[in-house]
Amino acid sequence: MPERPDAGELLDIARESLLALVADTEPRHHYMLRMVANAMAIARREIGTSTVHDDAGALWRSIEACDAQDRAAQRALHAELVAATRARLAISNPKFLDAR
Amino acid sequence: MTADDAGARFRSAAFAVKLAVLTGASSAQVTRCERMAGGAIQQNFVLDAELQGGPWAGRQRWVLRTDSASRVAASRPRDQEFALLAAAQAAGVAAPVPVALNHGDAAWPPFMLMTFVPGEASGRRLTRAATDARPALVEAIGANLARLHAIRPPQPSLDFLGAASPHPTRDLIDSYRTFIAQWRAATGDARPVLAWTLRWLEARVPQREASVLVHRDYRVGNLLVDGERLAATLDWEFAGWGNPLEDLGWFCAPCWRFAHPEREAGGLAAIDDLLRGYNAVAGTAHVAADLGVFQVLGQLRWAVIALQQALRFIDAGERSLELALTGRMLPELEWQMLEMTGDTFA
Repeated sequence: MPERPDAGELLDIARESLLALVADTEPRHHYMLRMVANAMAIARREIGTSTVHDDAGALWRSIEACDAQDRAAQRALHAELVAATRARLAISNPKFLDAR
Repeated sequence: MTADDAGARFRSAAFAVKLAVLTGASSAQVTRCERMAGGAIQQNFVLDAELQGGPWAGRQRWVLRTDSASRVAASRPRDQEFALLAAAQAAGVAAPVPVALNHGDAAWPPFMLMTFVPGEASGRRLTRAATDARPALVEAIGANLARLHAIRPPQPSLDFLGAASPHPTRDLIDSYRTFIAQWRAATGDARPVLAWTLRWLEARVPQREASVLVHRDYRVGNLLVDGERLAATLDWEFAGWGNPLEDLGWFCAPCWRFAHPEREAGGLAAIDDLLRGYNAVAGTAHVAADLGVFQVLGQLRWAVIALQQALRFIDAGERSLELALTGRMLPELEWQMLEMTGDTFA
């Protein structure tokens, strides 16, 4: 078992503390503060998920090897790509998926 | 040297002498020189000057454009940008008027001067400013692009662009494939959606193409708009010979729609509005469907640029959070690519 508070809990509270500063910070720093908070949120989600398990290399090879005539195989690959991209979006930008 | 120091340099008496020589004036005074926002590659200053004698006699407001400290290899030298602006002006393209060029010497860095054009360039503000679509503006943007595309090779003043390729789109796809392989070798990160998109594009690459002068970054954000009027085309860094549909597709790629993703032409209006303006000037009969391949090509290009930015952080030691986060935009771009291509590539 990891020590408590664990990495995710530390990132959460660090991010909350950072965002609490925004209101008292000069507007010219807001863009950077929000980028920092965003980077922390992505890292938080990534360590909170059992990382993306798609085998991107294998998928790449399947696409390159796929017969141009085999439309069923292409549809299957497309479905795999959609699923893999959805999993990555859930980490890097879940709001993007919410809007869809 | 910091940007503020550089601005002070251009307010010096020594620079006033330089300015008079460059512009054919007998004497000059610089009354103001301030750094303008933006410009990661270049530093832009707005410069107010008063000139005595010569073709620019009187009060002038100009933009002084010089290279920033962190130079990017792809950045075009100022003299080439100057020649491009002159060619665009001559073709009737809305663009700043090139005024003078300094090639760079012991005392002063390379820089160019062009007329200051007032207007709004921010994509966020332009797409948000009105809730209504802006078809007249987009039609003018299309017509302006057609005037640029009337410039065809060869052009002696643009010989630095090299010879036009007989298959510019295939060349672009090849260059993206090469970079994506470099990315994978450098990071170990395979991006299968990009492999999918490359195959989709390869099945659709035009067999016969005519090359024209393309801007290669013609989009909301690089166009100065004054009310509903297109005032100027900016940022000629990437111009070259290419398929005219490349510029039209880039303008309509999802990444440049800002607050209005449903308005395919730059977040401002419909593709048909853009093409109405374009076709009327170019004498073409393009329809929205003709742009599909080039919208995907534009989307892939943006993904390649994002990976290039990320690589500057990962591999080149640039400690920038913005560059790092740009790499994490890829899944969004890839999702859009999968929507755009549909579920078969052949």
